[in-house]
Order: sequence, then C-alpha cells, then structure tokens
Amino acid sequence: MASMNIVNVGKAYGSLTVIHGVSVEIPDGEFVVLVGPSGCGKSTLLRMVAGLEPITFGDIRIDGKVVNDLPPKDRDIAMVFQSYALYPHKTVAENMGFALKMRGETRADIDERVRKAAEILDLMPYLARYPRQLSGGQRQRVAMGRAIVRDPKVFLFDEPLSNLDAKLRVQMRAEIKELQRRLATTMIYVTHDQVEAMTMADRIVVLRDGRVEQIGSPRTLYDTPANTFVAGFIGSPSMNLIKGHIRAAAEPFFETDEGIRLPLDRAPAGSDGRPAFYGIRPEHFTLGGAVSAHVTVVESTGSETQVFAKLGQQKIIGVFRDRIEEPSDHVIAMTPNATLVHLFDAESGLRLD
Amino acid sequence: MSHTVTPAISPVERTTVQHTAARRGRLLIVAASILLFAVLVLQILEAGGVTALGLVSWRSLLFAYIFWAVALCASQVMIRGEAGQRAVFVLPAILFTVAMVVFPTVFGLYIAFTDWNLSAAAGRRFNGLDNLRALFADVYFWNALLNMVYYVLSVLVQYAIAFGLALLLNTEIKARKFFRVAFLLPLMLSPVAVSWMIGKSLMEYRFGPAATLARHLGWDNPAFFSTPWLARTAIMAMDAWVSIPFMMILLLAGLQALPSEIKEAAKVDGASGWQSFKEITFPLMLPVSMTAIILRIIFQLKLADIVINVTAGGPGGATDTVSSFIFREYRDRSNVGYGTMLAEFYLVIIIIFVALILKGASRWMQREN
Repeated sequence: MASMNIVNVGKAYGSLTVIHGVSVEIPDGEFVVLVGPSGCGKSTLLRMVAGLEPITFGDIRIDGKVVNDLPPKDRDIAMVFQSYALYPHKTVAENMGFALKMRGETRADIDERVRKAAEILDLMPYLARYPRQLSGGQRQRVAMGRAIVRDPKVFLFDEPLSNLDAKLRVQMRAEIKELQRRLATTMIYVTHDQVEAMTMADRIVVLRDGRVEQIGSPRTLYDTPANTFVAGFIGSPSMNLIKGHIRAAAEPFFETDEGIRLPLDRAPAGSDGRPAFYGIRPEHFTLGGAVSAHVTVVESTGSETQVFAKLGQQKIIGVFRDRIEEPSDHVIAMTPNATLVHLFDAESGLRLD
Repeated sequence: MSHTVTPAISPVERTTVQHTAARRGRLLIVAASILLFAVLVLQILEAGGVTALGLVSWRSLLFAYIFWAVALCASQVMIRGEAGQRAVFVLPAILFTVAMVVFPTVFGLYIAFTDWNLSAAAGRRFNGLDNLRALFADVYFWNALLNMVYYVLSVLVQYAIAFGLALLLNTEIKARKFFRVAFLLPLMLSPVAVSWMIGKSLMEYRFGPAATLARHLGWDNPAFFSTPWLARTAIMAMDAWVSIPFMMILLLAGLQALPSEIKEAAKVDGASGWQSFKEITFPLMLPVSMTAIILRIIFQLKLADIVINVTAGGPGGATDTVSSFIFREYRDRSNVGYGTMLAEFYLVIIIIFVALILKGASRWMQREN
C-alpha cells in the first residue's frame, strides 16, 4: 500500500513527444482509472509507472520516493497485462508463485500464499493446470492472482478486460472492484472503455494526445465536464453538442445556428452573443415542450428508447424511458432540461460557467 | 458431400457402367504388369547373355516402369472412382520415391554383399557376408564412428554459442542489421571454399597468416593439424564457423516470435536477466532449440567436405568422419562393394540414432509442457 505521485511526467521518442507532462496525485488505496481514446498515451504512462518504459522528463514517486530509474522489480508494483502474459510452460500455481520464487521465499511460504490468493479468486481446482487448459475468464483471474500474491504497493492494470466477452466483462468488472475494496491497495487501471472507467473508478483521469483533459470522480466528470472532449467521451450515448450563440437577455436562451431557441436557466456573465456549444445529455430531454426535431431513426433497447433526430441541420440523440413509436410526420417535440445544460466556448471548447 | 444431380441413367445402368470401367481398369493394370515383368525378364536374359535382342541398355525397363506407373494411376481411377482420383494425388510421388530412393537403397544393399573393385578385372562377384565381417574388423571405420561421437557432441557447443549470438542480435544493439548479415556470411560460403581458404591457406603452418600470428604470440610450431586433438578441434572450429549461423538464425527467429509481454511480466515479477532467461526464455525456446539441434546433428552426421579437403582424415585417422572414410574407400581404393556396405551400415546407424533422438525429444518436450 502506498501513495503515488506522477509529477509532470513526459515521454518523447526522438523529436516526437507522446506524453506532454502529466501530473496525477494518487492517495493511498485509491482506484484511479486512466481513460482515453486509443493512442492517447494511457498505456505508455502505465508502462512508465511500471518501469517498462523509460521516462523522458518528470518524476514518478511511490510513497514519496522517486523511482524514475529503478527497474520494475525494485518498485514493488504488480501488473496485469492485456494479454494476461501468463507463462505458458508453468502451471497456474507456478505462474502465481513466480514472483515469490524470484524473491527467494521458501516453498512453504509460496504454497501458502498461492493457496490464499487462489481461494480469493476461486482458482483452487485449477492450480495444477496449464494456462492453455483454462478459459479466458480463468486466465484473467490467474493474471490477477499473480499480482495479488505479491501484496505489492501498487497494482497496475493494462486493459485487462478487453479480451473477454461482454457478459464476462461486466462480471469481472465487479470482481475487480470488490477485490480493490478488500485489499484496499492503490490501483491504476487503464481502459479505453468509459463505462469501465465510470463504474470502477474512485477517480478518473481523462487523457487525450498525451495531455490530461480532466481529473475527477466519475460523478464530477459526468456532471461538470471541463471541456467538449470530456463531455463527449464520458457518457453513452455521448452528450449532444449543438452549435449556436448565447443570448443573455432578461430571459436568457440559446440560439442555434439555424435560429432555433433552446432553453437556458442562466447565462454566464458577459456572454451575450458569444458563439458556443450547447451541451445536453441524451437522457436530459423531456418529451413535449416548445422544441421540435425531425426524427430520423427510433431505436428501442427494451428498457429505453433512443431517438436519433435532427435539430435544424444538427444531429441530436435523445434517450427516453418511455416507449415511443416513430411519429408518422417524423416530428417530435423534445425539450432540453434547462437546469442540466452545459455551455462550452465554441473556439476553445472549455466549459463556460 | 455428394452431388445430387438427377441421374440421366437409372441406378442399375450406372452400376453396370461402373462395373465395365472397373473391369477395364483391372485389365489395364494386369496388361501393364505383364509388360513390365516381360521386359524385366528379357533384360535379365539379355544381361545374362542368354538372348541377343539388341537391348543394349536398361532404358527399355525404365520406359516399361513409367508406362506401368501411368497405367497404375489410370486403373485406380477406373476401378475405384473418386477414391481412385484421390489416390492419384499421392501415387506419382510414391512411385517417384520408390524409383529414386527405395530402389537404389535396396539395390545398394545387394551391391553391399558383393566383392566389386573397379580396378579388378573380375568385375562384381557375390561374396556373402565377407564385407560385413570386414567392416566389423575394420578399426578405421570404428575410429571414424567414434570421431562422429565427438563431432555430434560439438553441436551442443555450437548451439550454446549460436544461442548467445541470437540473444545478442535480438537486443537493441547498434548496427543490428549489419551484424545480422555479417554473422550470416559464413553460412553462405561453401564448406569446400572454407576448407581451402582457412584450413589450407590461413592455417597453413609455414606461411599461413594464422600460423604466423601464432608464432608471433610465442607458439614455436603452430601446426594446427599435427596432433589428434588439435586437428580435431581445428576441424570442429571450421565446421562451427560455417554452421553456427544456421542455428543462430533459427534461434533468432524463435526469440523474435516470443511474446514481449511475457518477458515484461517476468521483469515486473522481479526476475533478473539470468533468471528471466532460465525460467522464461529458455523453456519457451525448447521447441525451436530441439529443431535446431536435431537438424544440425543430421547435417553433422554427413560431415565430410572439410575433412576431405583439409586433413583427408589425418593425422592417423584422428579427424576422420564416416563419410570421408567412405569417400576414400570409393575414390582411393575403388572398392565399390565394401564402400557400399559401409554406407548402408552407416545409414542403418543414422536411422536408429535419429529415430531415438526424435523419440527422446518428443517425450522430453511432453514432460516439459
């Protein structure tokens, strides 16, 4: 167990800088998820924390101690790889006990701790098997078992669930979360799946092109995204961003490029006429009201209905708990909930408050 | 899956057609076999001087065999239908192998039991087990066979060096591509060229640069091929120089195919470089290693060219290989009968030895995995 400080860490390959000074402070026992689209540098950052990738600049501290130049084995971290990276020629028990064996612990000690970890992960019946004799989910568990027997200071997960099918992924998600509660160890988890990030994290770090876009709890990212990127990345289906201008009259409203009026409960000071994005989550529309859109497709998932529509020329999506049939005249009245609107500057994409 | 085409003829008629085809097929193969047998008998009579039909060479028998082979393929299709067509995909290869490998080996076995010296006026004579008896009493042959044990063992040393080089070339070193090509160069040289360039020129004991250098370093009489172990080591070194690149390239390919995440996992798990090699890389490389070693042993058992060119088996048979010994038996003594006996006997030894290695290797690998 340990706290971790990532201070202005960067990575460059020759003249190509892929990570531009990332800083994250992780208190002891926190579950932090690094999320971002592919190529955003999240895996590279994790590998730098692990010591598998040299750091070009900045500092990584574990419990206050700079570990920049320490090899992975001296950092006391455990890592779960995307491909699991199990040793194919070793049994499950040997796989899990490998790190302890390398540390030179006694046979009895190793057996004891492997057994304990196997009990936690329901792997007892498989200890004598080889990885190729296991299913994907079991292999995943062995990979986690290999990490937890060591009782490391920090756990690192590199997209550990991306090779599993959808159902197993949901199950393992819950198991990892539960494991983290139980062990109360600091964990850094990399994923490109915002649902994983939202459901598992204590705090999320959203990365794009090697820069931090926002750091915060899942709720914070959902309720107050710092910019249009985070707004669009967090939440599914993603937030509608409608282009237009703010009108800060006595009764403020938002006017889209096509001249459609959308409700606002307040306008930021001095923003009259300012070009902006009107951000509204699909689930924050109500049926009826003054705003009407042209329906293109209606999709039902059973529990909810997704309406794909056009507001003027701009595509929007609405999600409703009600069951909706596609109207015969293709016109639907759906009005944004004015209290849940986010405004972003049209040029910088930054949140306006 | 069979075609479900509406039959143009009734099933009864179709069986009749099939029967007719099968009968014709049988007729064809019987006729071809009779022809082949007749030609064989005629050739034997001609060779024995009984008849004089003007069959100067055995070529007519070859033609009869080819005709028989074609007839066999055709008759299979006619007799067995689709199953016959399937057989025709394999039959030509089998017939070719029989003609080019099995027949010569069996015929060689016959020669092995004859006394046939090219320089003797008497020609070839059957002499029963005389050659085999001579072989068992031949100290030079057993000496060469013992040398083969040393040469095969040297493959293990070559393997260790090749593995080291492969590991080196697999890391991020400067000018890696250059070194890869440079290390491969010896493999591209003919062993005959190597034996002349190095064995006969560089290591020549009066004027050879290697000998001169050795003299400068204080070795009075650097005759590399004068004492048994020195000569053997020199031959092994030359052989290693040519064949290490071969193993190295196999091992390098194996190393590059290892998933990098497994090695990273070992690093994170705290394995040092040596531990990671011992626990992860080496065990995972076992299949490739076995392949490389077994291939090299098979090649090594045929080692002859360097020995023939550099030492001709000397001094006192210390560097002799079985192949170079057989070569001298044929070339220097024109002793075809005995030479063939040696070759056939050696073939049997190789087959048994390699079969045992393969068996042992597969059993070992099963236990490892």
